[in-house]
Amino acid sequence: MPSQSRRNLLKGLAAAGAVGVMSISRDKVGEVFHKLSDEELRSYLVEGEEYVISAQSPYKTPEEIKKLAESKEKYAKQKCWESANEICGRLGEDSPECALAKKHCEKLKVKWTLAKKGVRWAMALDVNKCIGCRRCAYACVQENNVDRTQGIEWIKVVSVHREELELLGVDLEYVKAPYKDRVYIPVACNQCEYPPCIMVCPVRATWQEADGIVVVDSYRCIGCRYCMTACPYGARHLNWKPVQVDALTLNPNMHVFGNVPREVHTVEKCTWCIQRTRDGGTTACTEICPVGARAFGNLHDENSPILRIIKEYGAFVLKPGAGTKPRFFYYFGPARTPPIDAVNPKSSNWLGMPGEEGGHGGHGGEGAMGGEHNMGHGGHA
Amino acid sequence: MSNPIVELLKTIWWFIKYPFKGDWRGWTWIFAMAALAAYGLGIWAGVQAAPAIYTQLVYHMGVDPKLLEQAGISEYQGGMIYTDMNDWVVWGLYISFFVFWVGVAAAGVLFGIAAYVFRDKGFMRLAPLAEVQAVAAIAVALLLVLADIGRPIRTLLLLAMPIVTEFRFPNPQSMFDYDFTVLNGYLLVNIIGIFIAVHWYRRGPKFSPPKWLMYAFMVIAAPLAIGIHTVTAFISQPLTARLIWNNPLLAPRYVATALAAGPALLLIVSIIAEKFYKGFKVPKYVYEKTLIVSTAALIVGLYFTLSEAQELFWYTTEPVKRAQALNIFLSPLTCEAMKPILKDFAFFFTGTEQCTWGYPQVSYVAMMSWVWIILGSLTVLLAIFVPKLRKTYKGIVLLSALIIIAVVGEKTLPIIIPAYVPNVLGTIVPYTPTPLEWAVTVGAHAAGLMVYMLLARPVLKAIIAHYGSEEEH
Repeated sequence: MPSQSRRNLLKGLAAAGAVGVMSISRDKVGEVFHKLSDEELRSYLVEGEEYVISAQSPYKTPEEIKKLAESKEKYAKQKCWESANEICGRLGEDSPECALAKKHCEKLKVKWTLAKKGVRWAMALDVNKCIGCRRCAYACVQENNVDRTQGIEWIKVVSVHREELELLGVDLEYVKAPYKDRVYIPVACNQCEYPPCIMVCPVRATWQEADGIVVVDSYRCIGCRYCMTACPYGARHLNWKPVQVDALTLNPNMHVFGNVPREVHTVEKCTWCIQRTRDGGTTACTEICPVGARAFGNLHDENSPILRIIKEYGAFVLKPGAGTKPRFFYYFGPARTPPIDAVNPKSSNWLGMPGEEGGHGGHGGEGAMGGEHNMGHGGHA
Repeated sequence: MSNPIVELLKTIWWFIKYPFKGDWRGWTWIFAMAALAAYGLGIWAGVQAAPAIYTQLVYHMGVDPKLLEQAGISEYQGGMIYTDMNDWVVWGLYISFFVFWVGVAAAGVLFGIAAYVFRDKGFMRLAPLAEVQAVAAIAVALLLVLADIGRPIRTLLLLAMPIVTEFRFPNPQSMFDYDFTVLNGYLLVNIIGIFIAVHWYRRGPKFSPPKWLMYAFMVIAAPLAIGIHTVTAFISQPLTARLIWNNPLLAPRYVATALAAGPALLLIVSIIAEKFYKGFKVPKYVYEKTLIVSTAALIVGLYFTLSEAQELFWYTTEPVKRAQALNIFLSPLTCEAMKPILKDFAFFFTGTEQCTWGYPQVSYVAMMSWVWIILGSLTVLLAIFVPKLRKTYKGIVLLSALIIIAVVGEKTLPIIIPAYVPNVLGTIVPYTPTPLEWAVTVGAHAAGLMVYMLLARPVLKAIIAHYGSEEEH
């Protein structure tokens, strides 16, 4: 009997093995699991400069990306004109709003600029300078055509205690800033060297470009939100409802993987203003920052501000324990805004402790503006 | 021996004929379930997924928008905004119950092992019904995933790409693809298993599937059964971002409680089936043995919970992990309930008499966890120390129901929600399922129960045809 049952078992194993062999062809599996290296980043020469397409990208040639950009431009233009016609119908053909909306739709262009070879973007932020005004978050929303009806902001400014930089029990919805005992940490996508979000995507809808920017293709995203679960920085956002394109506030300068209007139920994220930076510009948040807390540049460039900042002040990253190697560096710069040891103590008249508000009476309510007012006093002293 | 092709056609006819043979009670059940499922599907397609379906069909596949508008699907109405999921709590009720039903499905093959590997005559009668349960459970799980995904049509298109276009494999690093493959593979394997069983059993007592075929079936099905739940745990287990999930105990924990809930559900279904099908008789020792296995799995699950609680509370200084752990076990409500029992100890451990533990907005998580711990322990004690209960049919049904409720308390929301509250940036965004989510979830469950009923009928008929005459002596 035992030999009989063993024979049966062997027969069963053989049958199961045959099914396994039939379903998987060995050479194809090898193709799938190839290791990604620099040599394998395909390069192309476009107008004299050398550009590269990431091996992780599902689009293998410039032609494919161009075709994608064209189809996205068609969609964006259609949405834009729908909105413009609605605005013109509501406010009249000769209203300035109508003219502006039409101008935006005419200028609308979806670029497909590729990554330059040898570039690795990085950003640095001076935590001593940041006053938590959240202008970067608003500028980002406007630059990147984020849907205004959902309250999505790619940059979240976290207010944490100065003594303990722990991301727990933090305040994201503060209304007054800056406080003396608080540090303001704007958090957006850290454009990690090892991004967990792209590893988990089942359909290759998100990948790391050759210049380090992690992009999402809203024409491939299936909205499973696995990447949002995997991101240790909360940098990814889903369009939970149909996206409204408003021709009046639309930014017509678009990139195929950047601020082109996203589709419903797809994920979007910060791309370091890919539509600006790939053309030699800087990001909107860097440009808008009123205290100059942000610096943006190429990590591989000897003259970039990033390298100088890291060398001079040292830098830290968020959640180093997550092992993602972020390329967004935070550092404590040489001076606080406004300086805490100014000659006139009133010149650094920040808001007191959060608990002391009542004691100060109307003083706290002035917020950051109060600080500006007293700066004038400081000048006299 | 008759023509094999004729026999095959007869089996297919068996599957067409018998699902719809039943009295008014059966039809009432099927129609009620169909109505619920249709309601869930309608509210999902018409509200939650409407803009996604419209966008995909109109802008990517060139369908005439008028057709969709006539069907009540419009571009700018609806969306997942009607669920309470948000950018911080990204998985909710759907994925919670997905996890539970994957577990129930995994247990189906337990009976197959007992029947076909150990050649137990009693378990052989129950094994095909266990496969039916696995199919129904996988159906619920897949429906819930489909409901949860933002772009369902695109998902199906992209995941089918290696078949329809050139070989462009979905991301091999993503655990989702493996889960998709394993779940569908297991579904297919169980459908084949049901077909094999019916194909031979329906012909009478002298026919049974060849032994080598059943061995081959088990060699494929047994690893897949453990695999579906393991891979489902592997989705969340390696994420460094979610500290509470990031421990290697998650997969064993999933499997342990799955092996408690799945058999318990099958016992209840089998006892009901015995009432309705006079020829269908399962020896009592099968129930008793299964209940013991189920209780043993429950003990292992409780032990894992203890082990996890020790890791979370004893020395851990990781503040976010502690905060998330607090969410699992403590809430102001549980604190109030425990106060009279703990008395001074509560003060000793927390340093305060105030009930400020956990987060009041998601206190249901802690309540469900305590349901699991208290009801689970109670069931274990009853099963061990009250032999009367585990030896009578009523007692078996009672214990099985307790086990299922306890495992729902362990495996649904308390596993998913604490990973998101507090979230990665340390803020608390609460999550409470909306009526839409409940409706869609209930619809998916109803669809599963309908599948269960329709598939169980031909299978039970075949089992009766095979074993019915043996019952006489």
